Amino acid sequence: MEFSASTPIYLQVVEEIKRLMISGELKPGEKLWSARDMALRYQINPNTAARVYKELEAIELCFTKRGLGTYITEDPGMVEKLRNERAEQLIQSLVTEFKNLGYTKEDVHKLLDENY
Amino acid sequence: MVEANKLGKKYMRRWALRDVDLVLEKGKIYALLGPNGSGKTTFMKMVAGLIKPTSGTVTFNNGPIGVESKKRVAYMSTEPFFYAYMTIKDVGKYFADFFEDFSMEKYEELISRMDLHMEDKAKELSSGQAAKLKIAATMARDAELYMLDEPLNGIDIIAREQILKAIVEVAGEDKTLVISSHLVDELEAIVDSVVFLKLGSLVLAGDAEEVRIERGKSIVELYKEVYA
Amino acid sequence: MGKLIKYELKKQMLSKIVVAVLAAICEAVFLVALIINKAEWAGSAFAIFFMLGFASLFYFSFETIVTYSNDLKTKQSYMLFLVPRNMYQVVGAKMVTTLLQILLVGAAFAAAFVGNVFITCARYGEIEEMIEMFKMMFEQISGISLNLSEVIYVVCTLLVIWIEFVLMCMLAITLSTTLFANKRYKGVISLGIYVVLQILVAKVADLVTDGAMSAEVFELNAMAWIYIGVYAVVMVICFFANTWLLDKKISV
Repeated sequence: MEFSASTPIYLQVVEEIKRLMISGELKPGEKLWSARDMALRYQINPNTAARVYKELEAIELCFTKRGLGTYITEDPGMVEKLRNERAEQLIQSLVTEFKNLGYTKEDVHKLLDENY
Repeated sequence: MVEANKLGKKYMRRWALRDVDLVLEKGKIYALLGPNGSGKTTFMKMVAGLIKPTSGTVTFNNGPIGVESKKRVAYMSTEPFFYAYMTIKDVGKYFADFFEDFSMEKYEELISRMDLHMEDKAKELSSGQAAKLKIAATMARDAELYMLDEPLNGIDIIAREQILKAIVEVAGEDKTLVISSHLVDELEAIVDSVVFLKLGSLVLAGDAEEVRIERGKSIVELYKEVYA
Repeated sequence: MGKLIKYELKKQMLSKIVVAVLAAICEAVFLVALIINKAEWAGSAFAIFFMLGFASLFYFSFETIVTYSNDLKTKQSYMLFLVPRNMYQVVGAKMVTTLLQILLVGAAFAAAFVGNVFITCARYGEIEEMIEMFKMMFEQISGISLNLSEVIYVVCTLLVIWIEFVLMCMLAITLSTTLFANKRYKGVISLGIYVVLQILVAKVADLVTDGAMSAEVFELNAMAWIYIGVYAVVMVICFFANTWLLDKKISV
């Protein structure tokens, strides 16, 4: 995974986990790697990996079963929630970009009809 | 774990390292940054016991640099240094003979991971292979402090990932890693703390994340700024 | 220190093998010559063998010094100075290796020499006559009468002076890598110091021996031992000087 310089690395990994959940590569209830394995997988500092998990737990994307490991949340609505969040992000930035280009709402509608 | 107090080293007329106050803590991965001549190698060699300070002091676990510290410190130099007659296997045996924390299994595993063979002669290796051999020998030890001087130099892009993995594998709560490199972006994701040296003096040292937030830029960008 | 010695020997193994092969060839020629009764060949092979012995002793000592120089001046230094050993062990291992090499090679050649003499005698009969003949030849060449205590004396002197020589060379090299590491003419300075020190040692040895003689405390035989004694003391001083310098001032 390539990291960009603009945001903290742990946040970038959190986004990546969200992406994997949305795409279904990580399923609800699935067991996640240990912090160490995550560090190895993405070549990041083990402390950073620990931070990733802390953040994931804070936003309720995963939970820890003592003695067993960390698991993706089993909440059935979570994947949907993530998708919606992402969609919201995309549309917001899209709207901003098009506004910067000087396109009106009608222009954008037209583009959508032609291209979707 | 390592404490340097007003550490200095003078060669002929030049101070390679001057008045450096630095503490390296357990469990962290440090990036030691700076262009050639900034003192990174000199610093590492002093902790390794290859050079004695001209001024100031440096200690390891509150004790002097010497036989005891050498048992727990693994230094990997930029240049190849094995005896001319040695094969890769001989290198392993040498390390096994002198370092209690050296694991022959781990060495063999790293060697095969890097596509090298035990019977190859050290002096016949290409520069990239020689670089990999040095890393294998160093990382097969279970040291408390690893100091890697430009470990990614001369390593092709594919092998770099293996090496970064080997480095992350070794990292742990009671270990300290110091990595010096010009390839700052490769290290950006891996390090806990950064230390910037310029012309022998300490310019900046701190937690990598804090530094990024405070300065609002990545370590790579900061590097360009510091040494521009 | 055993491991250090093992690796010192390994570093210098190639030359030993070469000499061993050459010696084996000479010996083979000698034996074949005896069997087919070509005395001139046997004589030449014997002489070459003899010279080989001396030459290799010189060469091995030289090699020890060159190895030490490489150990301090090239990156190979990391091999020696990163390992958890103190400087007494490092320098000690080198000394033991040098000593071992001289003793073993010396003994091997001496044994071969004596062995060859006996074989010659056996081949041509008259062992006692042969021994007498050899003794006379030897005495004529070297001007010393051959008896056991004197042989011991000669061997000891050679050993002490040889090792002192090697240690002194090593000290010069150590000085140039430690105390004089940052000086411009460190090579010349070291060489200069070496020469001065050797001259000094010789003078001191003379002085001490003269002093002992005039004090008339010791008998004549002991004089010789006092002379070597001075060199032995210098040897020890060099050892500790080397160790101290490496310990406190190393800069590889």
